[in-house]
Amino acid sequence: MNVTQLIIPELTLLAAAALLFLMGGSNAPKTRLLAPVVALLAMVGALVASLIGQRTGVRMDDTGSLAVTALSVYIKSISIGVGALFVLLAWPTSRDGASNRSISFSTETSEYFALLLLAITGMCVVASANSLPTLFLGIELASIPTYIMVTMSRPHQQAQEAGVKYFFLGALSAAMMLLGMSYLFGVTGEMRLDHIIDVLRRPADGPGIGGSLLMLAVLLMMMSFLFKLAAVPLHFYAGDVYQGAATPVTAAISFIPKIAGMTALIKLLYVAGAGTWALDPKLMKLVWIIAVLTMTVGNVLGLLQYNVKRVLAYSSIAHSGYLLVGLATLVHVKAPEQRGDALAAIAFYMLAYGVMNVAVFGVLMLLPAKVPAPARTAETYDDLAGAGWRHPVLGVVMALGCFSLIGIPATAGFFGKLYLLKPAIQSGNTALVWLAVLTMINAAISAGYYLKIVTAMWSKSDGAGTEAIRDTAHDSAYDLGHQAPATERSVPVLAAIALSAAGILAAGIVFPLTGAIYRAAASATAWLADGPR
Amino acid sequence: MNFVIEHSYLIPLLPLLGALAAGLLGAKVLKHNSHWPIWIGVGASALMAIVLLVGMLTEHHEPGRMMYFMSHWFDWIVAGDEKTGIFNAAAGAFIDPLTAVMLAVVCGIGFLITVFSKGYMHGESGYFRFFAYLGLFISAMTILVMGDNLIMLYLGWEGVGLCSYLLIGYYYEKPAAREAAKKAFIVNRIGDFGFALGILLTFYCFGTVSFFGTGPGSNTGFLEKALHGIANPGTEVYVFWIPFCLMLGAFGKSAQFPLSVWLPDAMEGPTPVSALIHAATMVTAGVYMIVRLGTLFVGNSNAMITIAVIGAFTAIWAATIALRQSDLKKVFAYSTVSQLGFMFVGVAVLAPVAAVFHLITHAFFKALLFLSSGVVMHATGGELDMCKMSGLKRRLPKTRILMLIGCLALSGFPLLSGFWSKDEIVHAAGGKSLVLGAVMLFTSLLTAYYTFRLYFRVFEGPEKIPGGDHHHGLSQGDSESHGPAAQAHHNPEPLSMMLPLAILAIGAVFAGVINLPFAAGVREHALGHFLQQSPSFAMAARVATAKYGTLTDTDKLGLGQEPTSHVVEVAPLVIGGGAALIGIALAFVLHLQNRAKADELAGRFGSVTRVLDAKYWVDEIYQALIVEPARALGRLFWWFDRVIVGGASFMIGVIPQIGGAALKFSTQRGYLQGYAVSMLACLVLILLWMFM
Repeated sequence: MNVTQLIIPELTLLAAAALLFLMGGSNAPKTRLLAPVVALLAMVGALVASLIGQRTGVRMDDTGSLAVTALSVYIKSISIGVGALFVLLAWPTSRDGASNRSISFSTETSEYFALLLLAITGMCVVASANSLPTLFLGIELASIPTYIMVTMSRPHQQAQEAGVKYFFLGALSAAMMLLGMSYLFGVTGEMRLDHIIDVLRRPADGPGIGGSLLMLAVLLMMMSFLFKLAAVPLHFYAGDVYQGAATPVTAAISFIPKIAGMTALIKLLYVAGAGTWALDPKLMKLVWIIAVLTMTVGNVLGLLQYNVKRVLAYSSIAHSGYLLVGLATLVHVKAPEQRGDALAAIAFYMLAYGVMNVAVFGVLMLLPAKVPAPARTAETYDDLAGAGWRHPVLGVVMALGCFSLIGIPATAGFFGKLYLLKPAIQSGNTALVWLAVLTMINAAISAGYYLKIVTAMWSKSDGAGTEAIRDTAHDSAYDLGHQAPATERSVPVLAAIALSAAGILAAGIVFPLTGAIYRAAASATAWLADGPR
Repeated sequence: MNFVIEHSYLIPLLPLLGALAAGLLGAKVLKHNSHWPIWIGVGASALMAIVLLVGMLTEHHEPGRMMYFMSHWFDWIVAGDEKTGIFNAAAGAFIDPLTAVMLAVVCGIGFLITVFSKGYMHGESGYFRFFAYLGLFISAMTILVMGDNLIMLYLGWEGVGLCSYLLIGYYYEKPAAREAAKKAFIVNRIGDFGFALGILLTFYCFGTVSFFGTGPGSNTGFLEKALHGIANPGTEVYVFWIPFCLMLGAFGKSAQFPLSVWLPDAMEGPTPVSALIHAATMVTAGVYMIVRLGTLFVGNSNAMITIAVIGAFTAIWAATIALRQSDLKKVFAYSTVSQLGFMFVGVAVLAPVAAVFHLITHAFFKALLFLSSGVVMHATGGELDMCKMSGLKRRLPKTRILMLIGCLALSGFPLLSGFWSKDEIVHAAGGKSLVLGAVMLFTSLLTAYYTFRLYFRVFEGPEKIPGGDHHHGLSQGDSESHGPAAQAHHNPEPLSMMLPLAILAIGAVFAGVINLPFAAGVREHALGHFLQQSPSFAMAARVATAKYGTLTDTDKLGLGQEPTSHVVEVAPLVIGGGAALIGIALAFVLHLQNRAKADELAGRFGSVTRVLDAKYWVDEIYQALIVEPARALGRLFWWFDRVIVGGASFMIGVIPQIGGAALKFSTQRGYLQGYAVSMLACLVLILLWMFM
């Protein structure tokens, strides 16, 4: 099949990105204000193209470097969909189109959105990559723009430092990935993933082929993908980078590389198991250990932070851990149906996580910081104190987002965890049952900091601890006297918050909808679970 | 009628919509017009209920054929699979003569009381709240009597319980009202726990919670399975306990000893609530439940004896307390408890028709009595203490006549409704056991006495009107008196309040004709003939025949079967009427002719009056036997929670924090080189582990 037919969504995004780079040449405020509109339209167009392009079976281009499957369509759709919310979050509100409260583009508004589109394109490429070079290109296309986005998002030293750290460590992980890929190619002599599977399945040399070299290749690639997920022990960068970047960027980088990494990881293990998920027991154990370590370290570090963005950074590590719980279940269970359940749960959780993440970061973006600074909105517990009384809607959405991240019933996050743990418990495998127990303990620990965010927002003190907000809420003198910076009323951000809050609730309460999403996730991943196709 | 059956969901839905409208729009938009949505919703439901009843009454029927209609609304809760057994609680109605009768009582009397409430509640703060709760109550009560499975019954059961709680606590600024609301709710928890256990056991034993499954004769409902003795293998032993569990729920809701303590306190609610919920409808739900599930109960003679003993004891016990109460509403509250005891006795002696008959007549005259005392309360500025008033007949002439009718009906004065229904129960009880019959007869005498004690004290004798000088309402009904009292001083008997009372009074006089023991214009035992077509009655009759052999005439009557002889037994009627007359005469002597004599008598039997005044110290016994141990247990749990659970969760909280601090200061120091080295070191460790 002609390659252009397969990558219409990617091409749409790329074309828009190119257009935006061209628009970046103009310094007129009007072009800058136009940039997010172009980006949003491109996202919507790509989403439609991706959904229309849905077909059963696998479609490959002539060289076999891209294979569009149901899974790739699903991953593309959710990443473009959530990507559209990121466009809304970064929408410039200043008159010259150069910034909003929490992000400052200076003159590079168009470029920012171009980079965002490129990162999403990278995710789409990862989703349909069928050869090692395409996979590498996809991952890097999803990553490199985010390094720049971190750096350019605000004029703070912190952001520069975060960008540099992110870049260097990302380069290190890319080196690991390439090293692994070269070993894989060396051992199997193939670049295409389906061919590698064929080689590994050939009875003459069997899975034993290459032995420890194959294992080395898998491990190196796995480490690199785990870096994208910010999984332990490659999570070190997350706190600094998330805190340093402007809030809309933090929201984006806690989703885009994660989904790309997780997708690549599933593909890698599918290939390494020769399409039948027959993996080395030690590798299975490693996945289990990393899953437990990742969620536990993420949650434990989250308890001690003062900066809410940093808390959310560790929270995102913990959520990578939950995704890895799904992965550990996937590689441990024997029955194809349970494998299907685990895959569907991972796919469902990706979407749920993306949506609740937007809700939480969106609220942070709208609330002012106590200490005003350019491109800085609420970041600490102090900034949040009492905000719920002043802005009940934001307070409620934040509570909703946090409840969903904990996994409290009647939210999307509850079903995410439920679906993740269901196959683990049903398998009856001791290791998996323990994994489920540990996940639940972790959910309890995570409540420690999520509820702290909610309590801060609904506390009666305004942070200085002197005045009860409720008493002064109606007192107009309060605002004048304190010079408290007003909340930003950005319609796009509010729209993003409203959409995600509605999504969280709808998926948590309207069971038919939850079921429909889950079934979509299940049908997207079903072919992977069945083993050899 | 077909329209009503096809759209039976409208009966609970319309009052619910009315309640929503009143609740959501009442505060800001409707304000003092908040009664309209409820009037319309409940009125429409009442109309439908009456159309349904008339339609079913005129339906041609052959003896021995069951009459029922099933209407499936939607699938509600479906769980499980073929292997584990399917739990299916559908939302749907099972409409048979019993449902039709209950619906007519609930919606009809409910509508009259909502009409009365407009005048009564006028000017109250939270006017819309009152009507919204009332609509919600009617909706829940109709679900209770229409549901075709235990879960629907339970839904309605809890729904009416909630409304009862909300309405008792309507004057929530008043501590007594708050306490009473909590008491009602908590005491009902005990009963409902039993009820819930009963539902679980039923499902465990029969694998379904549906009364009749896909219809009587299909053998898919648990009543039929019970009839044919088909329980899940290995669960037969538990079938015995189901009636006892369910009974506990019925005793809680219908305020039978010892779960009766909440009902007298529930009089803290506004008077129309006392009339509707705590006299006419909700408290009879327990009787309805046992009648509906009669098939489970009738075959279990232990359960039937328990019900008879509890019912009879409650009847006489509550009647003796009522002798010494001086608060009008308290007298009627204890009277309600006592009359409910009558109904339970009726159910237990295989006379469920008599129980339902008494339920209907009681609904009329007790609602009338409560509403009339509401009028008295208005006129006296919230005063209800009968010692502080006397001779109100000149000020409230119409109310006096209505109250007199109610009192005559309650005391079983010959030819009024209460006479016929009470007599049937006493007669049936006497047929089973003379002792039981004697107890019930004596209770009838007491009933007549305390009823007329109240009447003579309040309406006859020298005139004494409390609150006439406007310094009303220090104690009882404080908040209830403000608005209405001021208005009531102009005309204490407005038409909107008198009209519903008049209709109720007509019912209180003539409701007896629906089940006369002889033909008089209508067929004899018309209600019995109607109800016998209900599958619940027919199946219970089959169980009873199988268990107790040939039924006596009274039994057959009670279960709604054709009596073999048509001779009217006059003797029990004469004895019953005589007891009522003696009671009234006693009250006349002691409380109208010579009131000093009554006080003197009370003084002479000081110890007895002390016991009665203290209401047998039931509240105190509760305090000592249940509340205090519960509190002690609570303290134990609190300690356990603080020290053990709290300690554990403290550790759960602290250990991660210590770990976090360790990680934070060792690994999160912000150095790029450090991060890179750590990552690589970990990679090396993993590789070492994998390849060693």
